[in-house]
Amino acid sequence: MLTCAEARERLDDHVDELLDAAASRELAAHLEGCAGCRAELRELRRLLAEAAALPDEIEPPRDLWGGIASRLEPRGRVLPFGPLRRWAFLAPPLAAAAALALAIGLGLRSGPASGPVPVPGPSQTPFSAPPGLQAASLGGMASLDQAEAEYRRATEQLLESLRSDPRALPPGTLEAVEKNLSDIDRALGEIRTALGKDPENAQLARLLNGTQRRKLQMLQSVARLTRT
Amino acid sequence: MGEVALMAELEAKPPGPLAAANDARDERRARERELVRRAQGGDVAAFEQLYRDNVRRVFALSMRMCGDATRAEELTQDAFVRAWQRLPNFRGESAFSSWMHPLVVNLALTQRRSRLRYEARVHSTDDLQAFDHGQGTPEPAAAVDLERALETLPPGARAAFVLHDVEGYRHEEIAQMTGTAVGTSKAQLHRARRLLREALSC
Repeated sequence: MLTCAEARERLDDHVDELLDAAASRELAAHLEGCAGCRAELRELRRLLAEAAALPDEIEPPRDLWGGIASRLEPRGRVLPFGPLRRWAFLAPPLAAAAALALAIGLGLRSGPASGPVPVPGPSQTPFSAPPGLQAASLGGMASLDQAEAEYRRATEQLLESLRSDPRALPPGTLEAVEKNLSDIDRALGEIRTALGKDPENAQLARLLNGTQRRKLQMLQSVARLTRT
Repeated sequence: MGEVALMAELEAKPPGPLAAANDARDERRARERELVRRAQGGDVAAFEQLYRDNVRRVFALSMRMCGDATRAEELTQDAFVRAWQRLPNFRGESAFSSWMHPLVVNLALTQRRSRLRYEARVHSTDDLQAFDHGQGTPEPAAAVDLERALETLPPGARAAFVLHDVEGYRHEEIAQMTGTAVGTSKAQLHRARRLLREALSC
């Protein structure tokens, strides 16, 4: 015969239906003759009924979305896949171009002056992007082709200015700039080819636009540095 | 009535309440699957809708897991941020809220460990005894209902009770979620039930 302590130890397994037949019979025999343990079992069943009846939902005291939304990273940085990943090869030429612009700036600022640095006159002011390209928003452009044409014209003007006065740049710089531009242009060509096959791909269109903008910005940086 | 006529009559009958409930459930699931698919692709608006549909469920679990409304708010927010990060791995085999449960439980346990480490640094060992409310004086009888009594449980016992007796998980699932042994889950549940009966009988 079970003691009360032994019986109460088994009550949890009993209500969870985990006792084997022999253990159940022993418990039943004890309960039949023990009002205290029967009361304990009733209390336990009442507790379980109350627990099962608790509401599934509780309304938070305030809207918590704001604190969540501000912490969500764009999916592109989380997902291990996506159409833009194929264009990761763009990063090296663009990074190299940025580093080149920085190196030119440092060289010009810290190196010995080899002569007067020409200051562009009013005629040499095509160093800023066309107004329509400042925001570089595709939505604001009449078409992708028009945006491309504007970028091409702006970058050619800048490049022409740099070529027209190579003394403003340290030796070899223009060649390095053109080499980087060639890498970027090759990447741009591949994006254009992909867009030709998938003209509705908005991400590719944004990538093309963004790459054009960065190419222009790189040239602007170089041109600005020659004037400092 | 011939068999054909009987079939025609049965087919003409409007669907019963059970069929209507099943249809509504299927519709909800289909809508949720679509929201999940969009959110997996980066659609924040779809994820916000998932939040709006499930926040009360997640907050209820958070509240019961940590026993404190302010911490429950933080836990709910952390759980949704974690859900956004892990959403690409969600294969839709369960409801979105069920998929979030282990995230809430894990975060609750991690935060509890961090808090205990912090409290261990700023309180003496004797002070720590005070955090084991289950050993202390229960609430006055008039004020104690089950939700309040839950708040007084030690965290391990509370987690076992909430997951087993409120949410309906098995000990094996709880052990997996909490990184403990099945025997530990059973022992914690036993302790929780005893402490709750004591608290509620006061």
